[in-house]
Amino acid sequence: MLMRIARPVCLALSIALVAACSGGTNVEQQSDGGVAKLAAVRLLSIIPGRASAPATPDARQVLTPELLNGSSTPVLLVVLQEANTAFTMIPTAVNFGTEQWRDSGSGAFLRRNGILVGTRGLGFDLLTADVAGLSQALRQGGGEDVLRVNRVLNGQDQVVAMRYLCRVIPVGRETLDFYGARHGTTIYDEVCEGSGAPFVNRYWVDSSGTVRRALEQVTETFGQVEISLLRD
Amino acid sequence: MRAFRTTALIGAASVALSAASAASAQEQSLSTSSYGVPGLIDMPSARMQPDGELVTSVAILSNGVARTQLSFQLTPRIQGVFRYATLPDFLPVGSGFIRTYDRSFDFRYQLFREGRLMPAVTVGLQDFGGTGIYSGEYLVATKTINDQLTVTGGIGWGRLGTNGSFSNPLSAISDRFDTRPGFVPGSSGGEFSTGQWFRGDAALFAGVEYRPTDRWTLKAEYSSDAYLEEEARGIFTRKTPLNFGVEYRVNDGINVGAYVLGGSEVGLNLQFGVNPKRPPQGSGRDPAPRPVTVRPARSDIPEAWTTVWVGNEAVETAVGTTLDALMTEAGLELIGYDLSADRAEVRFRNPTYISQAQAMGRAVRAMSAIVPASVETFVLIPETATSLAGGAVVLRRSDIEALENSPNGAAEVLAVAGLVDAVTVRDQGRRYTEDAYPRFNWNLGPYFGYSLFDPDDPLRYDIGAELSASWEPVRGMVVEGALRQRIVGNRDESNRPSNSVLPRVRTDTPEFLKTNDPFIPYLTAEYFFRPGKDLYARTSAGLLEDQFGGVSAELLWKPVASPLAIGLEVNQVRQRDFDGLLGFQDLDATTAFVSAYYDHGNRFFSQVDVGQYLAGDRGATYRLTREFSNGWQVGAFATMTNVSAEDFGEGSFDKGIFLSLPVSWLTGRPSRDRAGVEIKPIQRDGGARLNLRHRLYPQVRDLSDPQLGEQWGRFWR
Repeated sequence: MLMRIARPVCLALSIALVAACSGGTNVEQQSDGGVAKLAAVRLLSIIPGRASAPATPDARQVLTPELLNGSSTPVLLVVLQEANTAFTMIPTAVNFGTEQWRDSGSGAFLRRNGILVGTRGLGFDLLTADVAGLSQALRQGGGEDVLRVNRVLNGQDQVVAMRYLCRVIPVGRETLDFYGARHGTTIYDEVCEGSGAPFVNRYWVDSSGTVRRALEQVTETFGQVEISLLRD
Repeated sequence: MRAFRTTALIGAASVALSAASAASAQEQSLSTSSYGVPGLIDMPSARMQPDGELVTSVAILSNGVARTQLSFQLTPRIQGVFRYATLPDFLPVGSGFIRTYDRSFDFRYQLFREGRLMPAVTVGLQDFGGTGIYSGEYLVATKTINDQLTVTGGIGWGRLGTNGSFSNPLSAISDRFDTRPGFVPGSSGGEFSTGQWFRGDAALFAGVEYRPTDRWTLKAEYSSDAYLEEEARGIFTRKTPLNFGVEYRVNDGINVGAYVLGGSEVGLNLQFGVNPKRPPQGSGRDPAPRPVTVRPARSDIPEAWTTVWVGNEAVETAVGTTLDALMTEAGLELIGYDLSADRAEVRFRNPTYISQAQAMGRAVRAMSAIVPASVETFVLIPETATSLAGGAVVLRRSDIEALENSPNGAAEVLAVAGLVDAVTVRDQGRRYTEDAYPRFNWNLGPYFGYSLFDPDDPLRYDIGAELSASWEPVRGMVVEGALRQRIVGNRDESNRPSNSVLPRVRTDTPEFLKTNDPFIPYLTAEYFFRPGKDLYARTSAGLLEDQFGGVSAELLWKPVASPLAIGLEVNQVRQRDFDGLLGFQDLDATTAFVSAYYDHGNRFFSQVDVGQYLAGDRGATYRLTREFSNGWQVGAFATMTNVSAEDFGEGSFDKGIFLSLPVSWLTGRPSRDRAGVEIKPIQRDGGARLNLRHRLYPQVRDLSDPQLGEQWGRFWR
């Protein structure tokens, strides 16, 4: 009798819960259910509508001068070039000159002197970047043979250092208009060749030496991001 | 039909993996032959897949022949292949022939890499069991003329020396190369028949691959395979030695091809490539960590550096409680802590990250946020889910503060980290968090079981519900059990009674799968402890696995920085009743092993077990694993015991391959979950071991070097 009841109850529970339910002192993940969970993850991801969670509105459509003026913290606007989506970030910590910025989710950027030196949560992340030479070149109005070392985790989770020699050259001037706030800037291109495919980053630097906007490669696979310092 | 269903299922699983990995491909899989190795249609080429490439290929021919192959590029020059094939009307039974199923392995070694002028040269052993349907050896050269054209030529023996054959040129070396023992259908096979390799007549083969575009490839070959056995059985008529094919690359992981074979049959070839080095989510989408909290300079705020809190229980408890919350936020579980004026020690479990170094990186950030400023030394002790600690990592807090964003920060932290055995860390003053012990967990979820290669149905499976629970009343004492109920499946339909002449320690497996009622896959009480420096121990009693119950004890010697570990295991067990409940049968077994584990340092691991197996046979098992730092494991094992090939039965000796991948590799989300498969061509009674759930070495390996340092790149992730 018990058996006759147990089977349908278990069936219903298992189907309803797919990826299991658990409880106790501290719920831990165990290797046993790996195959079942993997299958569940993949199944859930192909159910129409399931994967596309309600999209957060694009930051560019939401931002207003009033909103920015009311912000108590500095604000970055980040545009992912490939995906053409934008979001904002705010600073959470500064450690020996490196700022950590967070978005509303689980992503973070690391910046030093306004230059991107790390990303987290993007997938194909930049682990660290040594850009001391670039900082100096932007202060000095340009430079030749500027060393840049980008480090990434490769597919085997090993740190790989990619070395580049870059030319930093002024290419023009532009006045940026960030929701009513205007900044006169000099534009610099950073033209890099080295370990990986060549790339060009671009920086808009104002008269105080602050990088107001930058178009920077995260990693070869991820592509470029455009970062604007809307409020500091 | 069943064979096609099986191959289709394997294909579907592979598509899921390949589709996921394709986006990040740098090097792509090379197009394979119908035997799953880089090549033409039936003939191999000398080229090798990218290092680490795992290719599943399915070849289906219009006469009802199908082959599924799993190939792995073990090193840049060595490739291994496992093949499961089916041929209609092939196996002689009485006066007729029935469909047969065949499992075989290939081994390929690239003697010379391709140079500017020199071709690549590879030697291959196809179905090296020697008496198999597909047995043949070859020496082949391939030259890439330009981006569009590749030419191949070679000489084959065995099956690959049957069309246009001539007497063996190796006979010049020795007469023994003159003749080759014949193919014996239905023989037990499985032995390394070195005496047959490269013997008998040889023949030449050649072919070209032409790629008019990035996606399309045209292939033509002159085959040295006369299909003698198939023609003799009337399942193949070869009108010409010329074969032609066309192939389309869907993406960097998936190829689809069609070909005409012998001028009489058409075939379809599907190929799915995946590579552990090409994670679909890059370095992962783990949520960004909490930044390191940097202490104010002592000169700025001297009162922050006070040590008056030392010994104040209220303060220490408050620090512990907050640290517990911060560790939870970081995906870790604080077990215990010990605070003094200049030193803080934490013991924690890592249920989240594949890399223990990443768990440590998260732990130090949590500590930096709450541990009083005067504390300069951090001691981190990760523990297993069975409360075993291995290494203790000692770090200076000022290094953590200074190196968080240093360009080479991970390596710099590793360089200044101390690693000692956790047993040597003092234990007076240690407090355990309130909910550390006793602990109780339960889980209700689905389970999935499968059985491969039953000739009546090559893929059998069960899906059901499992209720499991674990109780740890005191540190290291773990009581666990589970109850399963099958809901759907066909593993109970297997109707192949054991013909084993050995004690039936494993060939009765199908009998255990026939119950329709709830059964107990395991129910154990175990104690895990560290008897001394470099030593780990386990004792277990109860229903140790689904087929045996009894008692088990294990001792492991593994110094914290040693690539070598030695284990000793003794078990006294009795076979359980087929209903999977609490009863036992009359079959007793005593097994005992000495095991050596060695980390070769280049992500290859060896394991040798010497001892007595379940059926009372004595011998040794060798297991070779290639592991990727991201957690992928691919390997093979073989067991030789004093049971003769004849007594062992089909397969001659126990062997298999295995594959295990971390779920986080696929999803990009942090998780210690794994998905894996172990493929044994056949399960017999010789060379069988217990399936213990908590052997020591796999649990503790990543708690100390070399494994810990190998994964250190994720410290600042």
